[in-house]
Parts: sequence; structure tokens; C-alpha cells
Amino acid sequence: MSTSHLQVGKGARDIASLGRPDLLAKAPPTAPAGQLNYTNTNGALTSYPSPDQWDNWTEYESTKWPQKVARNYALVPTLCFNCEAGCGLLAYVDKDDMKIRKIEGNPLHPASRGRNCAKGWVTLNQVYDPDRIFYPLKRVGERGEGKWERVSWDEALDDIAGRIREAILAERRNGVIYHVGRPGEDGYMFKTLAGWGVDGHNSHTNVCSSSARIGQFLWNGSDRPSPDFTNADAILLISSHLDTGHYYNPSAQRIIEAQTSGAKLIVIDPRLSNTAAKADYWLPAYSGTESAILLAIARYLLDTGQFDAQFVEEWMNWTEYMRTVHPDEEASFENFVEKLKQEYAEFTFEYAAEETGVSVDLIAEVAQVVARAGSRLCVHVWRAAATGNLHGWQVARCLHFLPSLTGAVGTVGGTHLANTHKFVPKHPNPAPGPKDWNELLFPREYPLAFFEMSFLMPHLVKDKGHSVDVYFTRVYNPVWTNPDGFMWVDMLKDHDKIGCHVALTPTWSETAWFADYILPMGNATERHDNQSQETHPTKWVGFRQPVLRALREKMGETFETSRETNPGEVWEEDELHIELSWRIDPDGSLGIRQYFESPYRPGEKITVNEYYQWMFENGVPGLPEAAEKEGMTPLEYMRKYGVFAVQENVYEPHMHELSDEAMHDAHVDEATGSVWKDGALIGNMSRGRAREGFHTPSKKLEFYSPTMAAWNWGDEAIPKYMKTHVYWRDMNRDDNEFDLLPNYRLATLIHTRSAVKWLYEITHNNPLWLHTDDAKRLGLNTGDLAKVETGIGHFVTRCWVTEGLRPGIVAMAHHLGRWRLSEDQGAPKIASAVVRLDEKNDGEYTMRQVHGVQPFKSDDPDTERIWWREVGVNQNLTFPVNPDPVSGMHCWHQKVRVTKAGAADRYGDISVDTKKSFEHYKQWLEMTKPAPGPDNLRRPLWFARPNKPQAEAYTITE
Amino acid sequence: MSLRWKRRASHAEYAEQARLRAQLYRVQARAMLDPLDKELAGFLRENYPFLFPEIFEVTEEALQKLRVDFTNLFVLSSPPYEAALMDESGHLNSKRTDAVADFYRACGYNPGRGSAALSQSSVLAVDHLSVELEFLARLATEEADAWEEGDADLAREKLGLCARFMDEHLMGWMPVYTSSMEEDAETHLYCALAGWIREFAFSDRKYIAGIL
Repeated sequence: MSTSHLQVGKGARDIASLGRPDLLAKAPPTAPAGQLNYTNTNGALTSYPSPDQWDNWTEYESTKWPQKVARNYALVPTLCFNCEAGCGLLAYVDKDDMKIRKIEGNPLHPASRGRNCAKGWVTLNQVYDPDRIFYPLKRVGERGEGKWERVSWDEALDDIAGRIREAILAERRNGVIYHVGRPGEDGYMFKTLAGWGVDGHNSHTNVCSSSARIGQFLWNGSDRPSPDFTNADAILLISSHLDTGHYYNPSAQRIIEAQTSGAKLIVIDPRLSNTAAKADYWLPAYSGTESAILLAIARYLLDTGQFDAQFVEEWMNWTEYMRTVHPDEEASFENFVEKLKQEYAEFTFEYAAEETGVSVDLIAEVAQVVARAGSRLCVHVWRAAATGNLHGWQVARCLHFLPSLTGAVGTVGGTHLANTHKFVPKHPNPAPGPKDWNELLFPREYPLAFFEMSFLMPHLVKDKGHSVDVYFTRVYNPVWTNPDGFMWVDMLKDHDKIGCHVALTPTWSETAWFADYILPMGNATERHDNQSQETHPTKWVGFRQPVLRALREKMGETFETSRETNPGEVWEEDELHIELSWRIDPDGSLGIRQYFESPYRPGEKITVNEYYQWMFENGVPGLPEAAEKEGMTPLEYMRKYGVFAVQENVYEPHMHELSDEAMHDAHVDEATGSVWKDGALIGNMSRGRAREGFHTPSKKLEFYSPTMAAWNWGDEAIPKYMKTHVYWRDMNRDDNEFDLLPNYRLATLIHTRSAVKWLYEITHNNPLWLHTDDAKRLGLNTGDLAKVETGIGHFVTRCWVTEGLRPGIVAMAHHLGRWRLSEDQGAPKIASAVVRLDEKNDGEYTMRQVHGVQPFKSDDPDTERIWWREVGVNQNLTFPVNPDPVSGMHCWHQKVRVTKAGAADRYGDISVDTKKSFEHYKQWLEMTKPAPGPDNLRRPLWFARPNKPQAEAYTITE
Repeated sequence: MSLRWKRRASHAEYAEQARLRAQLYRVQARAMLDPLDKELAGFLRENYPFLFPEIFEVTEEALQKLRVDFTNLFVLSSPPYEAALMDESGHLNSKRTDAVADFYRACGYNPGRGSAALSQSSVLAVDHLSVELEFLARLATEEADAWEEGDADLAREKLGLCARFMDEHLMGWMPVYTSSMEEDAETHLYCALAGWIREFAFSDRKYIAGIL
């Protein structure tokens, strides 16, 4: 045993003396409950103005180069208001003229870490948008006629408040509906509507994400996933969403970090999305067949023993499954594993390959990557397959089966529950939930819907005879965004159905065109909101603020409302709703006003400063102490930094041990590990200790859903592969039938509010993606016009021939095809075509473009430099509604027929028969299994619901 | 028959040898990681003079020559990754890389993550020669700790892991790679470094076998 090779090192100085960091890090141990000993990878920016310089920051004016002209700025933090992520922004306010000159990222924000996507930076465009609405407008002619008069806020508020008061006094509380597109806040509107006592919260969720939500919720009681991408070894996405849609910025930067650390990115998507293009594995499965791959992976994990048996045994509700589904067999864990193997025996790699069109080898390789990742498997689905297909919620069920098998739930690098990462502070003066149940929002046919059946509103109004006294659309544009938009036009024009339509919006929209009032609302730099999102394993709360008001108040001025510092008479909703509430109940006799009184000055109207002062003093743990250290009040702290990290490294909260007090007089069911006290299930045993568990009735991960079984969906109670309404084998290729994939986003746009110059210069068209083979067969080339026929009409658009798509599928992006009915108003001129809309035979609509975008004069010289003309086609108008009978989700994919456009067809032509669309709605309605469920309930009590009514309202009494 | 008695090293001696091995692997890892800066060049010149020609001054001009050679050898021609030589695809960050990462993980290391040095370097994947050498250094350090704590079984276990990693990974590709590097290098440093890394590893593998 010679040691001569070591001689060279004797007497040498240790290289450690150079103080350079190690190349390999010791892996962090698994977190014991309650011990948060992880260190986040610090992906923050390293160069930015220090916060102690934010009040006085000097930069040279770029437009004066090469002269060095200094500009003096104050940097004021706020939150982006465009997508849902709530990234941090810093507004650079020129202190000489108090104008916002630019927007940068807030480096202190835990989720965005100083970075922003294009949608964040264009907040500046939104502030100075030449088509902004600066003053309250009231309709003068007929709805949709386009005649408006400027009115005062007082006049508008008195009229609207009077109508709400009248509805409440007449016991028509369900006649008040607030319909939100982009919330951008947590809890304020729930509190407001609860204060009014109305079950009137409506959202856009069912055109967005509800199938993905329920798919996960049934597993673990959280309706959203929260990823720990940074620490993952394998990331499995059934979506292009994270690299293009909501959460794009915080997610994309962490996915990239993981990839640079060796993580494998797997994307299942029929289209080569931005995300798929950067993936290690792209699996272009036929739409709706994704579950076949997922279950094949599950089968592989089971058959090869590559699952976390201890985790599954302790945390999956297998005893319920065995006792219910296999009552004649011993409810042992070993038997359960055998049953699982039998249950999914048909899902061989070969079967999955035949169903999905993806090769056996690729599926097998991905299965090995998933197995290798173990507890560091991070999965995510938000839109895509889940929201595109009938039974899409089962895709989410099957997806979350995988981390449940590998023990990757709540772990470092694993898949988390949003409700353990998102932080919603207490609000002052909370009101109890409403006593009523609004069947226009949650009709009996959809007892399990996640959430309101919002896109069916015009159909339900027509079908069931509902009417609405006051209908708010808030940053919401259903005429353009939702399927079957002409049904919305019909409803909004009908005064008997909609008594008063109030559009709360920063800019024109197709829907606001049909309003009675348009009330101008603030953008990211013009409003107060608290917001938190599940971006990574940290709980944080961010603060959106009107930056000019915040700065001027800091400099000693005082203001009664944010209107005084916002452009024109643009207001913010927080103050608007306080004011509206006081006008609904001026003397307090309705019991409403009390919820909008100051916690500091009893009986007086709360101010927005008091609102957030109370919240930050009483509702955010650790914030008062952090503020005190810096000699500030909590509100001053949030105004200065814009964000606060409540808790970092939040891992495995289900493992939190139950306290001795909680365990007093509790007993453990040895067969199931369930911990009971006073007849209630309070936890679950794991690793020999009583733990809090998950937010499900069993406190476990519910592989078998007793809820589904109890509500007549027993055959669908476990993860299952179910055929979609656009199943590829049902397409008649000879008749040019295709599956249209219309529900993908573009990285640079976000619905109505992103119609601004910088973004539209980048992306302003949504051609029809067509595979090369299909294009050849149809005789179509890039740029040719194609006619796309849906079940209720057709549209005409241009083709884009590509290899980045599975043959048999065509695709077209969301977000484009804005239109207006007037030359000067109705939609942003930078982004919309002028159209002519005709109706004949009661409900048959045709739309033809008069002209595309044209340059125009405004305060902004750039509007004369517009070079793009075609701005896409509003395909959603031609889609019938496809409500999934369980989740309530609009199943976006459409079976279409694609042909070469005829001589009479023009770009942008649209034709729709709403009589057909109503019939289509009725057909899908027949698939439902209506309430009541057990105990005469409208909906399972444990299911999440916005603005949750009181328990009595859940029971059907008549 | 003559009895040949060979003295077995004490735990303290094994520990000292393991620390030396760790130190040397770490030096090699660092020298292969990035182009030398002034500080590191000075350190190597002072402690490992055989890597440099007799007349060598740490000047900006000399460092620039080393940077050019580094770039030619490791950036523009054949970067030192196991997968590049051993994976059937020839791709970086492929299955072979996964196997290396799995080995690290099985030994309690987190490949890449949390390593400021890696994230600031040009290393693209964890089967880079520097990371494999660093891994051997970490195992040798753990072995030294075990000897010092009197846990001979654990120490031999760590040595066994070293041997297995060398057999399954490093020795499969590094000798070929360093031979080629030796031929292509245009500076004394990288030519000498290639030979040192290769011969040291061969000797060390024999040393480990001798203890096991």
C-alpha cells in the first residue's frame, strides 16, 4: 500500500485557506415537523438601488445622452396587477414633476426577486394609455349604442347605492352580483359582499382553472398546487402555462434554476409551447389522453416497488378504499397495494403509447426520471389538459397520484398545497357569511363546481328566469373572453334581466360597451390591495399602493382619497366600496355600515389608511416587530418595502405535531391511524406521532374520494383515465375534423388590460397553428385564410404551418382578436379592429372587420408609428359552452372542421347562431347529477367556496 | 518460511492520509474548474511547483495564456464531462449524468444545489471532472472523520464508496480524457495537470485497494 502519491501534498498549504466556496453541498435532511432548517437558494438580484436610497435616487436621463443630465427619483414599491402572481414593482417617480418615469422590479419581493416579465414593465404603458377612461361615464342612449355622458362620482354612487339598497330592502339580495376577472387582492371583496349580506361573488374561475382545482382538492383539500421547483429533481408539467401565463415570472426563474442544477423538465402538451421547447422531455400526447401516460407511470412505480411505501401507508386513505370498494377482503396495506396493481394493470407503457401517440421508449424513460426523483418530484397543472377536456379534472387527479406515491407532497423539491403557502391576513370588522344561496352562481346541477358557474350566466338567466338588479363587472370582459359571447351581448342588452350594469375598469372593453356606468379604476400604481400567492415554499404578503399618494403623504401632504393623486378621477375599489357601503346604509339600520367603520374611531367611516394600518398591526405575524426594529409603524414598513415574508421554508405542514392540549382526551384508531377527539377527526398518526394532516375529511390524501361516491360519482372516485369530448379516434379526418386547442396563453399578454403599445408591438396576432402534413392535405400555406367551423358557427383566420404540433390538432392562442363597434371608443385602438355586427332571425350574429388597427394621433407620438394591422380573431365568440358536469369548467377544446376559406370569406369574419348554442348548453346540462346530495345538501360542506355562506344556506329546504 | 510482518497503519495515520487525499483531490478539482486567477495561480505555484515551468511569474500576460489554453481545451473543444465520453447519446446532461447525480445523492450530497462555486462557474452538469474530484475529496474527508472517531467500519465504507465511484465513473473516462488533454494542451500547466490527475487517481485506487 504505497502512499508515495500523497507526498506531494505534505507541507502544502490547504486550499481551503483561499476561502472559496465548496463545489458540492450536503443535501438538507428531511424536515422534521416544526423544524424549518432549510436555506433557500438565493436567487435574488445582486445589484439594485439599496432601499435606504429609495427616497433619493439619482440616475442620468437616458434620452439626453451623451449629456449627463441627472434626474432625482423616489422609488416606491407596489405590486403588479396584470397576471395573478403579484410580482413586486418599483415605481420610479421623478421628484421634480411627480411623474412615474419607469417601472422596475422590487428586489425585496420573495417571489419575483427583482425580476419582472414584460407584462410588469408595461404598467407604465397602462398608466399613460391614450385610451384610458379617466372619468365616470353614464350611458345616455340604448345599451351598446355608444353614447355617454361624464358624471360625478357622487351621482354615480348615489344611483348605484340606491339600487343595491332597494334590492336588499326588497329581499332580493341575490340581485346584487359582483363579477371579477382579475382579483389581485385577498379578502377585501369577500369581506365587502359579506358586509352587504349578499351571496353575490362571481368569478372567472370556470373559464380558467376549476378542473385543475377540483382534481387536486379531492386529493388534499387545496385547490391549487404550490411548487418547489428550485429544489426539484424532476418537474412534470401538463401545461404550457407556467412559462406563458399566470405565475410565469416566479415559476420560470425557478424552473430554470432547477434545470441548471440538473433537474429534468418533462412537459406533456400536444403543442410545442415555450415550456416544451425548453424541456428535457416533450410528450405531445393527443388532447385528453394525458392520464394514460400518468397512470402508466403510476403502474411502473407500483410494479417496480419504486414508491414510498411508508408515506403511502401512513397518508393515503387506503382503508376507506378497501372497506368500501373491496369490503370482502382484509383491509391490509399489502392487499391495498395489490389492488392498486390490479386497478391499473391495463396501463402498460404500450397501452399508453397507443392511446397518446407518444413512443413507448419515451414514456418508459420519463417513468424512470419520475421514479428517480422520489420526494423531489414537482408536478403542476393549471390550465391545458385539465381545462380543455371533458373530465379534465381526472387529469389533475391522475397527475397528483404520482407525488402521492413517491412521497413528494410538501417536501423539499416536491409538490405543495397552495393553502399552506398563500397568506391572507385578517381584515378589520369581518362580517359573517351570507345567509342566502344564489342559484345563479351555484345552480343545483353543479353541486361540486369549482367555483361559480360564471360563464353560464346568460344561459342560466335565460333558462331559469333569473334577473339581476345591480351587476358589477370588475376588470372582467366576458363578451370577449368567455365562450358564446353573443349570449352575453343578448343578456347585457336586456334591461329586464340586468337592471344596472356597472363596469369597473381601467380601460375600454367589449363588455363595458354594454354598461350603464363605466367607473374608472386604478392600475398597479393607483390602488391599495393586499395580495399573496403560492409561488414557492414561503408565505409572503405584498402591498399594492397608489404610489404618488404614498410618496406625497410621506412628504407631509394629506389626502382624503386616492382620486386626488391618481390621473383624472381614476379611483380605487377599496375606497369606492367603503363609500358605496355607507351610501347603501347611511344610518346603519341595515346592519351594513358597522362593517365599514373605523376600528380606531368608533362609529366613523374607516379610511383606507386605517384599513391597512389595522391589518398590518393585527393580521400579519412578525410584521409589527420587524417594523419596530426599524422605528416604523407596520403600515410605514409596508409602504416603504412593499412586501413582508411571514414565514420562509414552509415544508411538510401536514407533519406538524398536535399539541398536548389538542391530544388531551384524544384517541387513536389503530387500524387507520386516525386521531379522534369528541367525535371529530383531528389528525393522523405518522412516524409514531399525531400530526395535523391534510385538509380533507380523512386528514389524509384521498386516493379514494368518499365525497365523489356520496354525490353519485362513485365510478369516478379514484384517479381514472376518461375519454375527452374531443377524443382523437372520434375525429373524422376525411371530413377535415380537428381538435382545436384554443386555451393557451402568450407570454406577453394577459387578457383585456394588456392591450398596450409595447406588448402589442411584440405580439398582435393569433394565427391558426396547423401541422405541415395537415396543411398539405388541406392545400393551405402559412398566411392563407382558413375557415374554421365550430358547433354553432365559424370564424376565418390565417394559417401558420408548423411542425410544433401533433397532427390532427389545430391551435390558436387566447388574448387576441380585440374588436370595437366605434371608431373612437369601445376597445383600445392600438389593439382592436373596427367591426360591423349584424343580427338577424333573432340570435344569428355575423361580424365583419371594417378595418384593422390604424395609426392615430394622441398625446403619445408612438400611436402614429403603429405598423401592425391585423390583431387576431376572437375565436371564443364561436364556441358553445361545454360545462364539465363535475368541475363546472368550460372544456375549452372544440371539435372543428377546417377548410380553405372561400372567395366571399374575409379575415376576421365571424358567424354564430345563439339558438344552436343554447341547445348545446341544454345537451351538456343533461350530463349533470344535480343536488341535493347527502343530508339534502347543495354542496359538500367541506368544499371550498368564495364568500362562503353560513351552513344553513347549504341545505335545500323546499 | 519467513514471516513477513507488515505494520498496519494506525487510525491516526489513516486519517492523516485521508485528509491529504482530500486536499489533493480538492486542489485538482479547483484547478480544472475555471481559468486561474492571480490568487489561485499563486497558490498552485507556491505549493505545487511541478505544475509550472521552472521560470514562471504570475503576471497578467501569463494568466492570459492560461486562459486561452483553458478556453481551447475545455470550452471550445471537449469539455470534461463524463457523459460526453460515456453516454451513448454523446449529449451533455444525459442519462450518464443522472447516474453520477444519483451516486452523489445516495452519499448525501446535493448535486449542484446550494453550491455558489458551481453556479458562478462555467460548469454545466454535475459529471464535470471538477465535481467528480470534489466528490472524492468529500468522501475522503468523511473517511478521515471516521478514522478519528475510531469508527473503522464507517471509514472503510467511505473508502469502498470511493473505490466504487472510481470504478463505475471516474476511471472509465478520465484517463482517456486526460491523455487527450495532455496532447492538446499548449501550456505546461494543463499538460502537467492532466498527467497528475490521471496518475494520482491510478495510484490512489491501488492505495484504497490495499486498505480494503
